[in-house]
Amino acid sequence: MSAGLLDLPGVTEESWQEEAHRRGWGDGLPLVAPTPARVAAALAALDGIDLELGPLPPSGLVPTRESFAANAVMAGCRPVDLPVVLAAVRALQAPEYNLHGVLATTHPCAPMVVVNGPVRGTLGINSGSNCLGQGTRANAVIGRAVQLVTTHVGGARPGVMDRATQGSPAKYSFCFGENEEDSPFPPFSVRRGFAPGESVVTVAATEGPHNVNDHGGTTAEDLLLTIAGTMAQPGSNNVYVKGPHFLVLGPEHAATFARDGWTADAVRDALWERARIPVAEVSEANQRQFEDWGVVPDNDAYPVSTGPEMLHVLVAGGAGKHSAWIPSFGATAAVSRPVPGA
Amino acid sequence: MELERRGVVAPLVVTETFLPLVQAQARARRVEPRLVVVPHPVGGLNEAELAGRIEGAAAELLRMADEARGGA
Amino acid sequence: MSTDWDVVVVGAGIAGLTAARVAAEHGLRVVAYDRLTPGGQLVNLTALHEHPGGTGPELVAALTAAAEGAGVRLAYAEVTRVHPGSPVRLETSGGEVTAGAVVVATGLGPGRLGLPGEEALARRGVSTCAGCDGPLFRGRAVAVVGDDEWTAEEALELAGWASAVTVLVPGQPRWSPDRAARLAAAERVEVVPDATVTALRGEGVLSGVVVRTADGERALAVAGLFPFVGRRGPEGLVEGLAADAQGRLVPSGGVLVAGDARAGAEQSLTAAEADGRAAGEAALGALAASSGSLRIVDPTHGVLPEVDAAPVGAGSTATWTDVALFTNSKPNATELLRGLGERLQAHWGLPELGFAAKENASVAAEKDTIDWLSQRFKMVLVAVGD
Repeated sequence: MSAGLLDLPGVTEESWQEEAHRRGWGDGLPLVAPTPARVAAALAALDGIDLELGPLPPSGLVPTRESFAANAVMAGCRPVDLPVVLAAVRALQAPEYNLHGVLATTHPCAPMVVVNGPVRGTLGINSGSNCLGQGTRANAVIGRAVQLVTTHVGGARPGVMDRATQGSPAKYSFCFGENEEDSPFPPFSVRRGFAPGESVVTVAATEGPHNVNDHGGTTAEDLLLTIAGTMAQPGSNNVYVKGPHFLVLGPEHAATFARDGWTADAVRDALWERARIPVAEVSEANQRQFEDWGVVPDNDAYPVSTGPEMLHVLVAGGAGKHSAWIPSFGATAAVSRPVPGA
Repeated sequence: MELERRGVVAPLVVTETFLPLVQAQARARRVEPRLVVVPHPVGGLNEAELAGRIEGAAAELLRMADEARGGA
Repeated sequence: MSTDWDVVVVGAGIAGLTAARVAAEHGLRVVAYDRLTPGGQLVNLTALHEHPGGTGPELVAALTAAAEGAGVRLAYAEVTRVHPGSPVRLETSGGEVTAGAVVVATGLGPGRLGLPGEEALARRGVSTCAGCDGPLFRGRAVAVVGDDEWTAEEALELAGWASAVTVLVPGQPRWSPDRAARLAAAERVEVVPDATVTALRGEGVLSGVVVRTADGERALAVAGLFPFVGRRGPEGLVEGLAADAQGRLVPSGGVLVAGDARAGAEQSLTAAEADGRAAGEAALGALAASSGSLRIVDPTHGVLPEVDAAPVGAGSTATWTDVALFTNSKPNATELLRGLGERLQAHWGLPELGFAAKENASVAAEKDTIDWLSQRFKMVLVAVGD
């Protein structure tokens, strides 16, 4: 038998779920059995594409083509989903993403996967209504596959190696597309230096999204006040670990900004100035903790992260007056990689 | 662990909870770390509790240190 | 079929540990039972020949680590009876367990001459472990009884302690030419073929034996006697399984037997290892045949990248007075390290300790910091996990 195949005696397709669970595999949801035939079919989508993956912490093992594909199969991926999963796993292996720190931390961060470009349409990745929620196969399985690869090959099992205090539902799966079609701004990937029309995946280790409800606001100024207020909270890692954070504007909020003449960068710059946490809302013990990390207040208030460039503004969702702020682990970076073969 | 690879005696102080993680990293790097294991947690302890952790770990550390020095 | 284990291995010597590891590497749920500690006879062997495993205990440690690394559970209980079937039922001193397959790898029992007084003199001169008891006979005469590789190996071992080692071979030696040469070269060892021990002498402790050869009977004064004859296999352990004249089991009916416990086994480490490997593979085959199996691609599989495991020359001139602390900057980590550092400072009478900190607990250490620490210090106490 070649390395990497397992014969599970007495196990059938019917009893496979129990077996997988007993082995500590998966995320608690049912898994597709990665039979050699399914894995081979999935791998066909990577013909001519090298994985270009390195060792995954903490095990230090490099996924093989077969084990990479097996995890995608288990997550429920179709063969066509694999290149996007691969781009995401490549991205989170960039040193600045800090995968080791991400896997071992007590912080509830998840690998957020944002997809830009035509591959969204090809795979049916939802960037519109309920794109951060349930119900879209591509979003669900791609985000899940990224987690399973790192969990299984890297060995960062929840509760053993993954030391999250509480974790987050985002850790099941956190993948969505940017709603380029309804965005008044250039695509996020283009603003990050990729060509228009190129399919690109961006990852970062983030919390789940925090809702920003603003139904009353009619101007950019109104919206900025609400968004800045949502961001100015003393309990996020971005206050003292700093690092990237994300503003995912609903298309209607984005349209309001655009109508009032705001670019994405202008929104970002204004929020850097306005999202401030008054020192009075931070305990003295935490002020000392912040100071240990080299963070001192600026005019009786703390900023969120280190500068306007740390806030990434993008557009996703459908009709309605909601946006989302997504704080991060802090010790991570937004990393983008093109989708291979796309 | 990188320090040990460079010939420095580097005992790692680790809490029980993080022990599996450190051991997995060690396996990945193919090193056998010198470990001083203390009860979890360390963060959030008051002075008396911290003194207890130090007391509990000191004997093992000194033994390990003497052994390393004696064997050098 | 739902069983406690896919495979139960009875006996954790070289054959049992190898069978268990091989089965576990195929993803099976495997437990290996041993009455005492893993290793079987290996634990008693100080030096190994024909096997690149170092000393016996070193090989045991490596085999045990490999088995556990593959997921084998080691259980310390005695298996008293095995009932073949589907499932296999095993009575143990820790209760009954069920399995899809069983590998019997108990090895052989201790040597016995079957003479009056032998039981009473056990551990009072009569021993079956040269590595354990050899030092008790420093400067005294001992006899070894047997004709096989173990006998020769134990005689050579005893020659390191005893003033004289007489090897009493019931017929002609069966050991290899290599061992014969080593025995011939050992000054204190004399091999006596066609010799039978007919009586033991001694009140409370052994003082000698009576030996009959073609030349007649004579008394041999020895303080120690090491019988390696009359060793028996685990006959009766498995319900319905036949045994040969030495009590070694004849595999049949789906019961796998590996190592010295198997009828017809060649008694050597390499043979036991090969036997164990074959039994592990056979257990997999038996399980698949009896209940079918689902073949999958292992989602946890990966390969370790080639790394330069050789120590990197530090070029450091640091001495034992150069000690530093390296904190991950998490709350209290620095305080804990300083507390421990003070103890070491007092213990060794050290001057000031060096100090470095990771800027951020969540990222890897800066290369510059590691460079500085490794060049400047002999010992660095590191806070890593909390």
